[in-house]
This record gives sequence, C-alpha cells and structure tokens, in this order.
Amino acid sequence: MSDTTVLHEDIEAYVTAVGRHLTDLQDDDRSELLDELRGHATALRLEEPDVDLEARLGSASAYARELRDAAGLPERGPRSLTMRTRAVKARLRSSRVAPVVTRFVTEMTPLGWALRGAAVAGLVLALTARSRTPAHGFLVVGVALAAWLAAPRLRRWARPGVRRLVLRAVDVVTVVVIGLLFVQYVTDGTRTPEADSSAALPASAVVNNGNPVTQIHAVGADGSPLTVALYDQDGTPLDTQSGYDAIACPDDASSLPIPYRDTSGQILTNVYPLRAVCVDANGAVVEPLTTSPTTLPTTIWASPAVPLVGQHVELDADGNYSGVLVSAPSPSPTQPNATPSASSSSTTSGFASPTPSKS
Amino acid sequence: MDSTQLLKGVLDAAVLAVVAPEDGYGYDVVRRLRDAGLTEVGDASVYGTLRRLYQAGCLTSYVVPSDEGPHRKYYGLTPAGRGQLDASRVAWKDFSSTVEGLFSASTGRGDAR
Repeated sequence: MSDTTVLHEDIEAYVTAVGRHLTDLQDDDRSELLDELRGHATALRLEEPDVDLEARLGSASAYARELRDAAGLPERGPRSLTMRTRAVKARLRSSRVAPVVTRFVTEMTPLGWALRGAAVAGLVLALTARSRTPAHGFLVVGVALAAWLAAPRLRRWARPGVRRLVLRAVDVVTVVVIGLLFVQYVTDGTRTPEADSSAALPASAVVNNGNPVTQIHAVGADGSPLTVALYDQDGTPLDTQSGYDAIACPDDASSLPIPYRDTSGQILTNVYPLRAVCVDANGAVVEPLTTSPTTLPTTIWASPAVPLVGQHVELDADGNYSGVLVSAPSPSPTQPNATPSASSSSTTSGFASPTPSKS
Repeated sequence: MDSTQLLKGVLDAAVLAVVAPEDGYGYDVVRRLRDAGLTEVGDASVYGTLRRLYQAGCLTSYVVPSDEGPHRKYYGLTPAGRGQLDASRVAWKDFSSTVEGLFSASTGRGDAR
C-alpha cells in the first residue's frame, strides 16, 4: 500500500467519523458538508504532508459540533423514525461495502430495466392473450432487450416527479410478476408427475398411471367378456366419458356413444365396455360398433380362498398372500409370534379354481 | 481576554470582508482570515459560517475542478452580501468607537486618581 493511499485513508476516516455526528441531517446537506471537509483536509495535507488532522481540526465530534454551531444547524436531539432511518442509511453509505454495493447496483441497472420491460410485457400478454405461443416468449424477450438497450435514456425520459411515480408503479408490477413466477416455479417443483398429468384432466376422469381411461373391459374367470356397472369406493358411478371418446375415429368423423339405459330410460354412463360408433358430419356411420380392444388378456385366472377371521394366512417368498393355513403353527421359543411363513409344514388351502371362493 | 467570543460576533463580517475583493474556496477563506491576524478562527466555524451566509443569500457559490484533489466550492459576494458587509462595517465602526471611548474614559479616570 502506497503512502498516498494511507494518507487518503486517513482523510476518509476523519470525514467518515465527522459524518457519523451529522447523520440527522438531510442527505444532500450532509454530503455537501462532508465534501467540503474532504477538500479542506486534502488541501491541508498538500500544504503540510505530515499534518495530524485531529490535532489541526479537532476531534471529529468537536469539528461537527463547531460546524453545527457556526452554520446554525440544530443540535442532535431525540430522533424521529425518519431521522433514525436516515442515520442508518448514512451509516450504510459510509461502510466499507458501500462502494462495492453501489458499483454492483450501477452495473445491474440495465438488467433492472430489462426486468421491468419483461414484466410489463408479460403482464400485458397475460391480460390480453387467450393462449400462450412461442411468439409471446420472443416478444417478452424483445421488450426486455429493448429496455436494456434504452436504459441510459430511460433514466431521463420525464420530469423527476412523474418519472419517480411511473417507476414505482412499474417496480410494483415487476415485483408482483417475479413473485408470481417464483410461486409457480415452487408449485411446479413440488407437483408429482401423476398430479401434473392429471391436472389437465377433467375432475371426474378415471385415471390409470396418469393417463385417462377411456374404456374398461371386464373379463370373467373363464376369459369371457362381461358387461358390468362400476362404482367407486363411495358408491359413485365410474364415468370415463367426461371429455373423452370411447373409441378413436377418423379425422372427418366423431365418436357417438350408444348408451345403456335403465328400465326408466335413464342413461347409464358407468356400464362397461362402452359402446360407440364413428359417424361423419352427415350422421352416417363410418366405423362399426366397437366394444373390444385390439388385445385382451385371455388367461383364465384363479383366486385363492379368502381367509376368515381366526384363520392364519400363508405367504409366498415374495410376501404375497397364497392361501389359508389349514393347521396353525404352534408358537416356538425362537418364533414367539405366529408369523406367516412360506416354509410351514402345515397344509395350505390353495387356490380355488376357477371360481372365486367365498368360504 | 478571550478573543474567541469576540471572533464569534464578527466572523460573519470577517468572512464577507475576505471574500469581497476576490472569490475564494473554504480553505482559501480560512487562510485569508488567519493571514489577516485571526489566527484562532476554527476551520469548522468558517465552513459553518460560509454555509449559513450562503443560505441567507449573502454568498453565491460555484464549483471549480481541481487538479490537486476534490472539486473546490468557491464563494463570492452577492449584492445582499455586499449590503450586509457595508452595514457590518458601519456597525463595527460605531461599536468600536464606542468601546474605544469607554476605554479612553476609563484610562483618563484612572490617570486622574
């Protein structure tokens, strides 16, 4: 560090110390007084390089007191909130990080204008456009770039009072838009893929692995198709017809459901498989009645006997239920609890085939 | 006798007087006052006085860049300032002649004893 730097630090330290005793003054007044003091101290130093500022000018508090006295400025009394705020701001400005922050803010000013431009453009599009297109994105980026490039001129585009008012309004818009984007980002981040895909589905849609179910096929134990009415756990009819076609039709045709009706003539929307034909614009059928999918499992299935209260269950090696233990295992010292075991020597009531057992 | 109190009373007039012949910046004004014999004048007092006189409309100011450091703020007399300087000059003459008379009288009485 050079001697000159040390000397300047010495002057700055003194000026800063005096400034701490003037924090109740208006910013302009305070900086004006301190600028003059800085110039005075520099001139003193030029004339007397070894001058001790405190010895020459007095302590910082004495200098500030004498300055106030001569200038007719009021003594520091009980301070209002405004004065305290001003004092905190003045202290921040005189801190060591202040120049770094000021430089950063200055360099970031064009970015601030770009953000303002993007926020305003985004808000206008959100209020006026019915749907989002890539062109809208380009428009927002374009406005942001234009605001960035025009930043030096935008600082002086109107009278200070008007400019301040408009800028505050634009800043509020910017903060709100950025806040909404942040909330959307956080919400998207916490949404599961299933919830995400189902978010676009109608509330009443039947969903399987996040995909809408448009048709349901029931198959009996012997592999024969069944026609069934389906309800959920609350007794609400399952309805797959909300917004979806039961069958896929050519582009020039649309799916027309052939509904089931109850004895009173009421349409039943939960009887599966759904029946539908494809009809063209003139009402002519172009695809025949379709009820079966292209591939349907043909495996005949079986069901193990359902265990009753008091019976013990048998599990396979994967932990799946495989049957009812006919004779229960007796507890042993090594197996205090009668846990289900795949290696039990007891006989098992195996699968009831092909008809489900209700014993 | 403490000249500091006397100085306080005449500092406004003194500052106006040293700026009257030629505009000057703060450090310059302090030096002119000291060169004139007011060696005890405080730097802060001068700056405070300059500010107060400027706000009262007695001084005008302008900034001049300096090669040696920060910009210098020069002060010059306004017509109002010149008027105040003239008034101060008259008041000082009256005041000083009055005080001088008092001193002379007191000296005469002392000698008579």
